[in-house]
Amino acid sequence: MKTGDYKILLVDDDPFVRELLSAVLEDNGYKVTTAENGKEALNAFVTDPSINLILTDMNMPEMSGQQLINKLMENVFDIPIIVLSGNKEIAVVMEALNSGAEDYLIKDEFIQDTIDIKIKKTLEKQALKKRNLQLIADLSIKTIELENALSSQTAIINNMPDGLLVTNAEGMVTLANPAIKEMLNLPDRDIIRKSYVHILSGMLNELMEKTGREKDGVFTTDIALPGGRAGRAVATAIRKKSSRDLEYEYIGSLVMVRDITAEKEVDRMKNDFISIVSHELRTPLTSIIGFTKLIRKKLEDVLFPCMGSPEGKLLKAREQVSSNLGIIISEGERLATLINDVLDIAKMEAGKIEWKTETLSVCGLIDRAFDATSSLFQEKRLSFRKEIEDGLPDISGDGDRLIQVLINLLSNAVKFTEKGRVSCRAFSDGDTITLSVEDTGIGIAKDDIELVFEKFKQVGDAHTDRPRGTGLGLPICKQIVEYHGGRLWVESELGKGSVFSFTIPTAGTG
Amino acid sequence: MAKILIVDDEPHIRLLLMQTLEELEDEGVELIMADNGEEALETIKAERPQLVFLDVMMPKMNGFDVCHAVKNEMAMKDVYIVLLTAKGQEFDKQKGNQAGADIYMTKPFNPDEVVEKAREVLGI
Repeated sequence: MKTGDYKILLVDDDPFVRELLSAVLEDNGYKVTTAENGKEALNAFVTDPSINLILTDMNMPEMSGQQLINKLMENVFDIPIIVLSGNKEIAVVMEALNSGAEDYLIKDEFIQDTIDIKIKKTLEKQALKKRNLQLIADLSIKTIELENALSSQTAIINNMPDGLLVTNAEGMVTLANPAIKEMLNLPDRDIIRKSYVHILSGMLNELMEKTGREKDGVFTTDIALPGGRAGRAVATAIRKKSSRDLEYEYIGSLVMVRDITAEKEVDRMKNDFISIVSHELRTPLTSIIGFTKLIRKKLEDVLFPCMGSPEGKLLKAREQVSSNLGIIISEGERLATLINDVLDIAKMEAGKIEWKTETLSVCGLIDRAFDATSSLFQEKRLSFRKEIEDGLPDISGDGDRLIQVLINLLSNAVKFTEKGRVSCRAFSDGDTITLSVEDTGIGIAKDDIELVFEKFKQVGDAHTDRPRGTGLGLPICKQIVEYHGGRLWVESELGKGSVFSFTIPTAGTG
Repeated sequence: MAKILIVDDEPHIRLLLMQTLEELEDEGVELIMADNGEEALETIKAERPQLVFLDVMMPKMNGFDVCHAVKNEMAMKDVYIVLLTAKGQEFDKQKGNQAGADIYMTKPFNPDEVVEKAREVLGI
């Protein structure tokens, strides 16, 4: 406590005492101001707010020490008063102390030594009192804030649609909101302070147990709710870290349950829709393609032979009929492929494909893809070259889908190549494998390279009447490759050919 | 006498399959029809065909259930069942296997493949 911060008002009618004591106090480092009597002291105090303590005599003219004490107490001035008097009468002493003086000191030979410590103690006591009051005020404010927060949180918890159950570190339930009681058909009787093991069942129990064991992490599961509803539960440990502690303290667990019945219903409807659409579109197409093929067969096996060797108009008619039927069939088959592709890409973009995870050999994939497309090679008399690096590690992924990618790239290569060769290469580069399909075909113009991976954009060959693809093959390949964590790209030069490449992470990575 | 049963709720598809397999009729094969799952089961019990072309998506009783009934409950393991489905890549192969189907074909199917399979199963 720095005495220099404090100012004392010394009240005494004896000038000698005033002079002597002022000197003593100033020696001890206090600031001092004086008054001759109670009235003067009162004026001085009221006009000087920096006075911290009043040291007063009792017997004074105009206004005595006792009267000064009374006046100060009456007006609730919170200033410590110490009496310094020669009067030893016990009645006077008691009146002074009882009416509010902090201390009553006798003017004796020791006063010069004892005065400092007495004043110090009184000032310390005053400081403590002030701090106490401040603490109480702060506590009041904090309590109100806490009550407000608690009220808000209680309102939130009671009105939120998700169920919430909280336990303490011993597994006793401390909170169960109305939503969870309803969702889980919990009894109305009090479940607070019961162990969660008796309240929850099955998977929820397991979930809570995990949080208590691991004390870290978020655990989630889908559960069946009573009444045929579906729920999703998320459980986590509650950990507290106060500013003092270095570690987190586990103080309990909580589980939140959300009713996802509607969500699941929408999902089911989407899947049903895709099923129904695929069935409804393919059924009439089956008739169109099937009957057209039968017509063609009947015409060629039975009717046309009856025509003998037709010429002129008859020959022309026969050729046209055959050719037209061929167009209907190939367009029908193209429509079938288009339906497949559209449904495929719709499902991929909706994340609805069920992907398989298997360990696959790159060599095996390429062989199977070539087997499926070998007839295309033969039709166009193109040669196929395989260049696979030795000791290529296996990859992990969906075999059917990856073969779909290779088939697509190979058939594209054959489609756009008139003569020459299609090569398929595979090499490894750290933890990825790169596969590429290169052709000696017509290539792709620089401006069109970006377009090839867009849906329904077809580049090149605008002037021929060859049946075109669906425009979805490459976008689907891109989705498949990207799902596996790889990249698909093309390098090409108009007139020289193209190289389509994609990467797949090796098994054991990604 | 060799018998083939064709089951599909769509009359056009039944007609298509019948015309596709017509050439076998000349070789002594009898073609029988059914237009729903329950009728199919009755017919299989009564006629005991060697080969059944069975559509999957039918009302009331679907192809999986018929297949399961024939292969598991009725234990008629010598009936060769071809499941026909209009679902392409979404066809649940696992479900088909569990039901006991011998093979599945997706629509639109290739008529040549249908005849080829029939000849293979009937041994003609």
